[in-house]
Amino acid sequence: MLEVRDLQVLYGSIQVLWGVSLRVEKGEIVTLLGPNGAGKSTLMRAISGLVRPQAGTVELLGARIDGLKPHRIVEAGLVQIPEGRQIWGDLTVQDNIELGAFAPAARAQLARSLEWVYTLFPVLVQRRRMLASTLSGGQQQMLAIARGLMSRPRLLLLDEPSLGLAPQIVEEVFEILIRINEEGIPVLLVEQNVDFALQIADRTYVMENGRIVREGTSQALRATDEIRAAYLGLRVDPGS
Amino acid sequence: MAAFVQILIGSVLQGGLYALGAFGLSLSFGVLKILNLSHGDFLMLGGFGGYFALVYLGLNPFVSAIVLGAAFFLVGIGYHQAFLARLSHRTPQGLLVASVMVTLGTALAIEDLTSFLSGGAPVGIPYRLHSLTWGGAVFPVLRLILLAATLILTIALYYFFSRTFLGRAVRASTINRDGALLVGINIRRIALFTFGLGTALAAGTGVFYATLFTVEPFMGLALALKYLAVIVVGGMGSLPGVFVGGLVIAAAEGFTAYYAGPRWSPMVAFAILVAALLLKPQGLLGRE
Amino acid sequence: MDDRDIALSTARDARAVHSVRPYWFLAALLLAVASATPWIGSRYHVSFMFLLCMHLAMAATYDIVGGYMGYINLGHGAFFGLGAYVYGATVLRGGNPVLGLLLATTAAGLFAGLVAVPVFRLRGVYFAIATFGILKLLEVLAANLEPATGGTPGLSIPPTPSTLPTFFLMLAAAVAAVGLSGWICRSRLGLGLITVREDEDVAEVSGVNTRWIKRRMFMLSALIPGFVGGTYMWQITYVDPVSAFGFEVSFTPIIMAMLGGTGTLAGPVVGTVFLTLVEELLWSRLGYLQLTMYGLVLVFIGLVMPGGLMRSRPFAHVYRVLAIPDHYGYRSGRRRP
Repeated sequence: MLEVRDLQVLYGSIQVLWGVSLRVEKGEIVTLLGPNGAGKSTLMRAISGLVRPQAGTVELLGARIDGLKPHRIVEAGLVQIPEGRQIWGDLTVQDNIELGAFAPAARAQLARSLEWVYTLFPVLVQRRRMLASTLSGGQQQMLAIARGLMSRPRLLLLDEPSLGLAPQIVEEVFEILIRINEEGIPVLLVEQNVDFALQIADRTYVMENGRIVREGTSQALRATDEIRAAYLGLRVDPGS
Repeated sequence: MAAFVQILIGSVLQGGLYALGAFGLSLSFGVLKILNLSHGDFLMLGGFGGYFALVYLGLNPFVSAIVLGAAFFLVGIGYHQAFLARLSHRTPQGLLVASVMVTLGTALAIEDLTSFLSGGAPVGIPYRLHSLTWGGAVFPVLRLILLAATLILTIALYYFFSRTFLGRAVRASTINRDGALLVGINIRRIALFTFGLGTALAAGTGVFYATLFTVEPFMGLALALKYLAVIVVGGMGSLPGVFVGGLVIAAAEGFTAYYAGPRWSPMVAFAILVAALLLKPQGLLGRE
Repeated sequence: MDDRDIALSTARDARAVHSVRPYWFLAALLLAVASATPWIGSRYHVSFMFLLCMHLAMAATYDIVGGYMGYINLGHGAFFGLGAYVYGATVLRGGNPVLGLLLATTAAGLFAGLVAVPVFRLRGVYFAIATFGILKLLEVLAANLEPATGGTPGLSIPPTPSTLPTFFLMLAAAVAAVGLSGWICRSRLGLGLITVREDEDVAEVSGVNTRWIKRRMFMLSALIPGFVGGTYMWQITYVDPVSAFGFEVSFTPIIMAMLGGTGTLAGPVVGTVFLTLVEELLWSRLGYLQLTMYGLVLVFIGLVMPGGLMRSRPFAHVYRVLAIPDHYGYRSGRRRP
């Protein structure tokens, strides 16, 4: 579905990504973990076309999307829900969602997409005439996802959806992600919240200093000492 | 009292003209993050165009405003493509320097060329209609019609920006560019359109401006500064704020001219601009 | 690697310093020739050099705040105009030229200090707009405050018999301005300025006292222009709002600095010399469309080489040959599609 090969990204003369490769298969939920500054957001931005890679390729369904403009990448079916939501606070909730279907292909299906999205997010229906800035953090996250879904993505990227949200809300958000995934949309998820992320993911990558250092299924990774010590804060016994 | 009312009405009209002219500047700053210092020159060119349209083609200002508006829409797009589009790939510091250079340079060139070609004297469109008298105050019909035209245009813009897809997309792009990019909005095209619209508004307003007052070749930069005052007072990033700002500045100028003398009114806008920037940069309705 | 590292690293590798001996020799030679102008050249040459030094002094001092520190001070000409008016007012009230120059310089510095506090709350475009607004404000004030400034017709003072003192004063100002630039190039203070330009927040948390630096450099950059304004008034004996604060006099040095390359030592020098020469040549042929030429030059550099002549490829070779102290590129690299 999505294939990233040897991606290298530089900011000015500083190399941030050093030959990153990963893939997302049909129907999967894949997570990307890693400490701050590991380059996860940069990777997401590069995949979505906000940043141009120096080398390497990104392929969606076999077609290359690296080097394309962001709106073309959206048209190709890859949609990112960015870090910090990036919604439009001064516009109404409905405006925000509808603008998600700006692309001509998506606009043709506006009514149907709207119905689908409102079914997934009932809380947004009630608030649709309110300004987006009046929503709570969790609701804004739902809004961001709803907006993204309006472009009828074939693959969804999420950059730290749980950021700044209470655990209960995070659960709700993740449940929605699972529902979306069950409807056939694979998901690539960048997360700090390791526990949740490992719970819902089929496979996980770990990034450090601009490189992928680990890959595997969630169970396998859970068991590794590295993950447990570094991210779950558990002490590693020499005997275990 | 009659004088007060007359000044007030004059201010509404003047303010409306300022707002329409400044609107394009606010838009282009919001979408492109570029401050177009040559914006005022398009108003000036519109004014000159309206003059020639009347004198050589016999077109009345209302018609020429529409025609010139449409023509300058294309000019704006061309200008953006030729000069500004390349700048969008620069870093913020680089963009700032480059955009100041390019827009300032264009402004200087346009102003100087116009002065050279036209002889440099101020030009006014000699189109007059009759006047109405009511309660001791004199209301020229021309002004009333222009006022109405300004109001209609304002309402049209309001509808455009709150109801249409394109209008909302433009607003979204000014609020959050990344969000817009990620949602499939073709920022490039939005930028083009926005710039064209802003330039068209400036030129059309210029025709009105030349009918009420005069335009002269070197007014552009000072006018751009005045527009900035309008935008800053109303609040950067706020489109309705532009109209509030226009009204405030126009009223301030009108009353200053009446009570302190006309030679002090040019200073008013600049003083307000500097004061606003230093004291309350977000303006009255602003966001940033 | 995050934004902080990028900013610090850029500032650091922006400060390579080469050996400077050939450069000193050339500069000394030029200075000797320039000083001899009143004796080896005609009256025309003297006034040309006068103008050149004036532009150079203004351009180089603009560059301190505009180029090294990255704050585009469109109102830089205000210091000049202020200096001219203060000198004129002093002399009209019986002061001698030395007092006039002293007061002119001080007034400019004080004005800068006063304005610095509120104006540096702004950044980027807003700062540029505010400084531009202040310039325009001063122009209108000069036209309106008749008793002090003579209003629109301006101020006139009695002429002086010899052009020698003003010539050397202007030359000294230009040398001082370039020297100041050069000193900044190599000092720790200069590095601080550049970090402010590259990323002010990072500079602040890295221990650079940004508020102090901004204020001080702003004031510093005002002194020589004030002096230049006073000297100008001494020589030309006449000033009015337009010639003190107008576009031509205020933007010309900025354009010259940008053409040559802001934030570089040789940039303002090259830009000034080049444009002044071109201006003189064209002026003698055309006499008009000067501003148009400036405008087109500006557009051209803005589009093609916003870093100025000094940062373009062909000049890199000239650099190496002359071993001119290196410059500080702000990267205009690609960042988003």
